Amino acid sequence: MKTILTIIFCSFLLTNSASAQEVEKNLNDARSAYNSGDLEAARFALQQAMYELDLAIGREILKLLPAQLGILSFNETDDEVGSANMGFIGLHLSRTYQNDEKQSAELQIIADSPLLAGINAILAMPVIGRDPNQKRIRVDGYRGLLQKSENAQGEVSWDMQIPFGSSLLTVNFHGIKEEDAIMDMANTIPIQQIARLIQ
Amino acid sequence: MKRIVFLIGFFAFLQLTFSPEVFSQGRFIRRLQEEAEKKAAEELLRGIGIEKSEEEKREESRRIGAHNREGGLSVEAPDVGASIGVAESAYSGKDFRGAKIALRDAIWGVELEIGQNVLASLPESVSGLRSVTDSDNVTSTGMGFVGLLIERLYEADDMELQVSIGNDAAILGVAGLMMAGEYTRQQSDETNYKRIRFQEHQAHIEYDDYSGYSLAVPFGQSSIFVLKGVNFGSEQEFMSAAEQFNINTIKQKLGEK
Repeated sequence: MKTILTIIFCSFLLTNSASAQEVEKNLNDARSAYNSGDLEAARFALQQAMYELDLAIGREILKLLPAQLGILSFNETDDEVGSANMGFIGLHLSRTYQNDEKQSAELQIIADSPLLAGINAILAMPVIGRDPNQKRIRVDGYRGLLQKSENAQGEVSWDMQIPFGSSLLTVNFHGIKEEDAIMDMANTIPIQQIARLIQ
Repeated sequence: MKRIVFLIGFFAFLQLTFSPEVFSQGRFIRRLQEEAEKKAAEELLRGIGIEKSEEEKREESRRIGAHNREGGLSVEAPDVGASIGVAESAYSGKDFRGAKIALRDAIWGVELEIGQNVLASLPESVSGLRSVTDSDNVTSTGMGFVGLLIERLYEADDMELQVSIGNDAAILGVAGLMMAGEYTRQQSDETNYKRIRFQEHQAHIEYDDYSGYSLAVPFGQSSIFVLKGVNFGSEQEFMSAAEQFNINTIKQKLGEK
């Protein structure tokens, strides 16, 4: 068991340091290409550095996320971090929490996307029209929207959307009936710390 | 009967008088009249040498709260080397946001230089039209979707030639693919659009009675050259102007393959 833990820890360290080295390597490449007058190569290296930087930020955010969300635990192999490096889409990451009783939560963050500023403005507005399955919530000081839905089999799911700056945190809960349980889980997500990293 | 006719006439009169269309037309005409009167008065005052003094202008500006001084923002290209240095130190200090801002500055600085190099490679005059260097423009949003846009305008009399070069935009890669894959409009007896070969590249030319001629040439992996000509006498005249731009030189300046 100790050996397995050591291997996991070492591989985690290696991945992170490899990413860090990639950013530094790309910045070095960009500098030397620029100094030699190869502007296109400099631009490419800088764009690559930006991409690697996004991934590094994503990994830092994953480290901040709780290992347990109430009665649900996460599977590290399902963690995903990506960046379209296109301004329009930016950094995106996801983590899945689940248990053996078919209860689950999918957490997604789309960050640094100017497109989201408009959506976020709408989400931050008071709910227009009273939908009994929709309500405004507050998690870690951030306003958001919680929507409940139920399918024909009576399975309940919840969609939670919390905007911050030009980023959006979405959590979809499945198989959990009580709103209080949802809110308790949501309150363990350190949104302020995440926002500090991204903004 | 008379009473019914009278009532119909009366309601028709009310309808016409107070309908929103007539009302808004009336307002529009009144506004036009006011503007015409104001313009005529200004012309008259200018004609007889009565112009507003500086003090009067300042007073008017104070009254309506409008800016009346020369101004603008200083334009400074980012120092690429320094921005890379800032990005490095911010990154090593785990200031990811700072690193990102510095990287964006560096990318913008490099793209600005690429754009200026492309502009410098374009001809000074084309078919007797001189370049309006004040309107030279290099725009980059730092977004792959939009990419880098380089623009130059040429003018002479009533003729105008507008060059736009887009680079490193994901959507332009798609445009090139579509062009190559013949997904765009096929050639037909429609005389206002046709596909042509332009300096070894697939391209298309269009004509419109209002905007004149336009030529679009996708090239490289994600670039496009667009030329719009206003008041050119014929397609041949427009194409001979277009031939004075060298796509391969632009490609080389952009670092495209």
